[in-house]
Amino acid sequence: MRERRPVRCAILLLSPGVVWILFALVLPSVFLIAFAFATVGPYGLPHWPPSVSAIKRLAGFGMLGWSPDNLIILGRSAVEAGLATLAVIGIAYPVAGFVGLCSSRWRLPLVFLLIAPSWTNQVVRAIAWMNLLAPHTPLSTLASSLGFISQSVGLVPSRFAVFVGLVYNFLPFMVLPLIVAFGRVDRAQIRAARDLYAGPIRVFSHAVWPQTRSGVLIGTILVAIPAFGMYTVPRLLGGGQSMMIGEFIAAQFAGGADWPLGAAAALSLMALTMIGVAILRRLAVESADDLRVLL
Amino acid sequence: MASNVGLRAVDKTFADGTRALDGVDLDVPGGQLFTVLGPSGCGKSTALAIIAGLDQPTSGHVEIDGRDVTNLPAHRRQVNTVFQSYALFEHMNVADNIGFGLRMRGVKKPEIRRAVEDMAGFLRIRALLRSRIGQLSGGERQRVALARALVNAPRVLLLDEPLSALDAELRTALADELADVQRALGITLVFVTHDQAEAMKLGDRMAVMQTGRIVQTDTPRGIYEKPATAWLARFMGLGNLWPIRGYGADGRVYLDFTTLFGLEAEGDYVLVRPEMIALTTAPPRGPNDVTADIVQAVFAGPSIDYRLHCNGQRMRVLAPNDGRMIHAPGTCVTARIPVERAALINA
Repeated sequence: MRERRPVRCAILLLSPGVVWILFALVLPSVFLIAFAFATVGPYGLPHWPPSVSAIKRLAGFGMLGWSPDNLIILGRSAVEAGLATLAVIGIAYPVAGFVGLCSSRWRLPLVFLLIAPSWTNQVVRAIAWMNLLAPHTPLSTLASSLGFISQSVGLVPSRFAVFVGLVYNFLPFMVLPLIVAFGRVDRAQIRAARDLYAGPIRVFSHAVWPQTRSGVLIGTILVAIPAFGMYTVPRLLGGGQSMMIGEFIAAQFAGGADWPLGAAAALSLMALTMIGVAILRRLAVESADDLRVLL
Repeated sequence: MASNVGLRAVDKTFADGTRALDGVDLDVPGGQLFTVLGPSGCGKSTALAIIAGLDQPTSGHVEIDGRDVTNLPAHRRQVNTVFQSYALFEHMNVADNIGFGLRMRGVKKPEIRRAVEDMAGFLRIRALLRSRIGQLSGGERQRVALARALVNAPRVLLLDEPLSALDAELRTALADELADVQRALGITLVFVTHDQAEAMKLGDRMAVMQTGRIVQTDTPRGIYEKPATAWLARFMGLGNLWPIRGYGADGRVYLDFTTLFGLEAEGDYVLVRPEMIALTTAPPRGPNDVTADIVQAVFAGPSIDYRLHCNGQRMRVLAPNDGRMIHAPGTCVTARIPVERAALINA
């Protein structure tokens, strides 16, 4: 009796987590996989027996021969997410470097200013960008006077607007891990590099970058993957002309309902995400301990 | 090869207003092991960073071999530093860490390899050259940091509390080794520490710092036997610092608990080091014998550490453990105060 108590206790303590994982993760995934291998029936609902028709249609082998439309959406999502991530790194790295190396008195207010915008709902922020990039606003006028767009069109909707929206939306997710990384930089290593005849550029490449690389990798996981499947920003700022995979999936479950196709797309999105994480993990193996904890 | 280093009226005030150095004058003779002792926050590390060129003095000059190098950047001074936390580059292996300075100076690869291997052989870490920094013990890291600095053949080697992260046994072993290295290479070595025993044991000469100022520069013996201030006497842990209340005829000095005879000079305090006082059960004979009660007797191996009370004054006596009787607490004994070896200290 006494020996069984710890086991019971452990089961009791673990059960909320197990139940949650079962209903919120395992069960939906089983449904998703099942739907992805079903046939499309009336009203777009899944029908049995199982088949690979949804996967084939996703790849473009439908009734009307091969068309790469769906794959283009997938590729566009990857390119859009990749470009946005690069831009986010480019903006966040110097910002985080400044904040992270600031004295602790200034760090908290600066972090507050950086994350305050993300307390507004992302839909609201996307709509704000719609207004900022609309025709006859200062930014649109500037773009048309520089000859990038014709007058009266405005910068939205466009792939550029999606890009801006993604960068703006995901900036905090890169800045925060980078501030942590910069805050933990061992300054003695910077001094050691200077003491050992390194100039500013080599102080950065040998003493600063190796200590902050893991922050960039964590930020990339937090930015690139959600950006890849992002729904609201491309929906509101892309205007349906440059559909991304998140919009595509949503469309299969709503408007032109086709649940098996949506499930197949969601499944391939998951697979691609896992491949992405695996690549980042490999990059991280030789890097700092904190990242290994995360992955 | 070895250079002498000088600080001339160096002030350093940080951006937040902290005054780290306040008119510091320092002369480190070439080819010596010079220790800088002080409590944490006294500015000793800042002084080191200013010699290295990693920090700029607010005013004053840094001289190396009599030449003003105040405005010479760190990478153009033949000075290298071993940092307190070692500051090794975690993403490089041991060999790349040691060779870093040579690589930055554009030395050719085969030459770097030879120099690194020679230095690793000299410090007996050859077997570690391919290891990653994360795999090393504290003592090994210490050696790698030393090798990384020494391989550049500096004229002056600065060490910022290099042993403070190590356990006692390793500390002693590495301190001895460091002294050997200094003698073998004949370079100037400035060693910063907050450990009194370490500073005295290692230093040919030493300086003691307090709140941004140098209190005294002398040989360890000079500082031990004649500390310049009462603070220094207390900081060195010398014990038995008794305030002088007045002077009488024939060299009488009045203290709170007794009168001493035969002290020649003047000062604010009498310093009598605990190992100089002799204890006996015989009754007082001489004029400077006082009776005292043993409060505590701590057995410390080679010596017995006694705490006594003498007319309300506390007294500490360190008696050699000569294998004879140890006075038990409560015993009344006679303490012989050797005035001829007492020092008079100014506040």
